[in-house]
Amino acid sequence: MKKQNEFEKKTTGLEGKDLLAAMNYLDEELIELQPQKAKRAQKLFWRERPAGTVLKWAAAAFALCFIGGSVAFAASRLSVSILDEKDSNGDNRYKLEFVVDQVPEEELTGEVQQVKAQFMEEAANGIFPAKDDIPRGFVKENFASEQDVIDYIGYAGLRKTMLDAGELWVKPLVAVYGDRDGNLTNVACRFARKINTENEIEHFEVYQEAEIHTTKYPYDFMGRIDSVHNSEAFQKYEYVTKSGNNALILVLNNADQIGQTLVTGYVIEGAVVYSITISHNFWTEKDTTTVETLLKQWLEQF
Amino acid sequence: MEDEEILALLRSRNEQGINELEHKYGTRLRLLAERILPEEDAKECLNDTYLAVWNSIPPNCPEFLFAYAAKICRNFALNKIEWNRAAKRNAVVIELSAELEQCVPDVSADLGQQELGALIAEFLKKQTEEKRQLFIRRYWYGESIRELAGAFGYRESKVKSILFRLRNRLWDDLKKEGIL
Repeated sequence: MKKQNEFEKKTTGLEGKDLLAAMNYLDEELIELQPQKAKRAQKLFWRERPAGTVLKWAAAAFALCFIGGSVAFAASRLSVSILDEKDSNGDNRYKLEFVVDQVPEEELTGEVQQVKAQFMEEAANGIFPAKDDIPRGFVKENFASEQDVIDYIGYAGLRKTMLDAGELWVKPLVAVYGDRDGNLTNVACRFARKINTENEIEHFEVYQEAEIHTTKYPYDFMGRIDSVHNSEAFQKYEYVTKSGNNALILVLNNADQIGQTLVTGYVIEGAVVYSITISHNFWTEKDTTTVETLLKQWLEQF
Repeated sequence: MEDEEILALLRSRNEQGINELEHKYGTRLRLLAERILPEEDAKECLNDTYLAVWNSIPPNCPEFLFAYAAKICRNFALNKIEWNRAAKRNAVVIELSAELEQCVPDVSADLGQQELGALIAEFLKKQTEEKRQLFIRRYWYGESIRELAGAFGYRESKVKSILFRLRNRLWDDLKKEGIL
């Protein structure tokens, strides 16, 4: 992998803008956009691990205190397993599965319903022709606040969960997915922000998401199939909040790849899957403490 | 209206063809121009694009109408940028150029843009469709990391990670091609 200092140019010559301009000579066939497959909507083949397999966890450099006790996490609607298959980069893959209620489309009472008409118009005009059941994607950005996002979706079971954790970097967005008949299959609202640390170059990124699956969601599997550099870099924690809700926390250490460690928490409340991802280099003990504090603050909302 | 119908109007020198092109793709072309240029310049760029399409079809007969118009639009937009006046440059262009800077080998290069474009095309054709789309939507269409994360159903960190690896691979490819 190219090291950071190799990016420094020693002589004059090509610049980034030259590549930007040169890309105008790409074939039109390359430029023509194809309908986008939303990753989580794909049907994937995997081999299930044998029942009773215990996953081995690497020693944790990042330790969370969790409230254990009498509440059985086995009753949780969240589960994760490492898959035998690898992705195109040769990285291991893991499967995170949700068991979550699906919501009738009519219960999304906000302006999001207008996206149905757009999906149907696109299908009728062949603007994004879908030759199979690949859902369409639509993104709406620049909501002024989390409440605006909630109002746009209009689902009674969706509530505010954004942490007040530093300067807001970007505004929330909503991603809407549908099928070629115009039905809404799933809706996700996403919030992202950066938090400054003492090191001006490296910052935390905090990324939150709330996702709702409708009864038109066409796949049996709900969750994520994602990659991790190696299974030794993958840690799982189970956390039960003071209110008795189960949460799943994943720590993906990709520090040797791109200098990042990702900590992700998942909670299901009603029909909504809430998640938070915090990424940083974990350079100092103080930074690790900050991440733990943020994560607990988020978890204890549920 | 289907692309074939619009092309038929243009080939028969019916100005309704340009109206239909604007109706169908005007928003996307405008977004493309506005990612590169300030709003006023983007409007001018768009008008130039429609005129260029009108003047070039026929004799040209593009297979992919939107991509054809978008290439013209992007070319006009990039030509309008005043590279030496940072204040006039769109923040998106600055960001994209800086990211692509990482792909440039640290040697002087005597390479035309067309030749360089061909190398990038060869590189992209070796990638999976998803990676190819991510790269093109980011560096050709100028879509933001957030937009890409939303459209692909990924976290932003994953989009950044994929693009980072792609830029590394492009750097390797350009170096292997011996750009000297």
